[in-house]
Amino acid sequence: MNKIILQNKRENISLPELYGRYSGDIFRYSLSILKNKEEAEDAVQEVFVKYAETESTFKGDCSYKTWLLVIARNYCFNRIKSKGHKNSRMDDAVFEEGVNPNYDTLISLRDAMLALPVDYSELIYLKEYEGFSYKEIAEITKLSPENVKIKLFRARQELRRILKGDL
Amino acid sequence: MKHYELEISQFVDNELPEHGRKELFVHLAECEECGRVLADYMEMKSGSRSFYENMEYEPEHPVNLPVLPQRTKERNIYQAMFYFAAAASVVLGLMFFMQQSSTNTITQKYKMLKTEYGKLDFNYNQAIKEVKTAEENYAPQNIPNDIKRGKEKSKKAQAAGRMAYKNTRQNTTDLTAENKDYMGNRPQLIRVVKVTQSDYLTPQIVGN
Repeated sequence: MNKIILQNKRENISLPELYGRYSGDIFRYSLSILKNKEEAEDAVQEVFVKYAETESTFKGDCSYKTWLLVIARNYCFNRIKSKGHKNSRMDDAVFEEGVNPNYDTLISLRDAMLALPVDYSELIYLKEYEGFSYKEIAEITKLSPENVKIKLFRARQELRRILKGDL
Repeated sequence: MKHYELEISQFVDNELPEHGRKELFVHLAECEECGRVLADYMEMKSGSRSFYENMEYEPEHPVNLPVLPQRTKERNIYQAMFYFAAAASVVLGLMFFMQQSSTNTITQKYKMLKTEYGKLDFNYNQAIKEVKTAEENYAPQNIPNDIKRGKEKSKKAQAAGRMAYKNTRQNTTDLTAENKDYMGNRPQLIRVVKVTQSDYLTPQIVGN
């Protein structure tokens, strides 16, 4: 995984360049919350529109990526709230591409991710894929680092419990 | 036996402090259950990463990115002028306000002093009235006897003095009148000549 080095606003990055760098991450993060491919694609579009609207208010106290993830998070949770389902299950269409069914682990993991609540799947994504520290995750999710630590532990406990077959 | 699942989760996240790691490793050497937990957590970690890595973002429809407003040089200049004008307005407003405050302070002081003057004036007039009332109500019998006698003596002395003055004037007038009479009726004055020794020694040729 190519981890993109986080940059703050000292460097002026154009919108197309931002899109090129972070659209994939925004998509995957939105997917971990919305669990629907089409909705996650819409979220990417909306996130960059929102960024364009609020670009002048960005103070540069965090990285571009963090700011975009915060916008994505707010959008996704508002969308979930408006739709009325909190623990939405991931759409099976997500798994049609790019998943090798020969890996039993991934199939089992897919089932487990389907069953995992949004709060937990979001943290699993930010930690396991993005590799953020507790402090960075706290900045995005507006939780305390201690709370992030406990929630991640519970997410792993839940995922483990599901993987063991206790659905 | 205490299990270290939370510490294992922190260790997998690379967030466990150094002293916690030592304790955990000691425990892992003795506890099989925690060993299994660690193995499961590590497998979940790699599986989750692969899971998300396989998700490529390939939108079906082209994405229309919004256009950010271009900040032209002119706009920056206008913006700078606007901020300068705003700052100048604030400064002028503050100066005006401070001046008004000082003027108001002087006016307030004047009013305060005027009020105090009015009170003092009133008190003064009251005091004058009281003095007048006291004087009107002044009863001689209340004056101590010494002062009373002194006043009487003073009056007598004054009267005597006035009489003496009158007499003196009269005497002076009389003397003046006598002097006038004397001067009018006086005999012819003999011319007094100053006689010197030479007058005696030199025969006087007198028309004889």
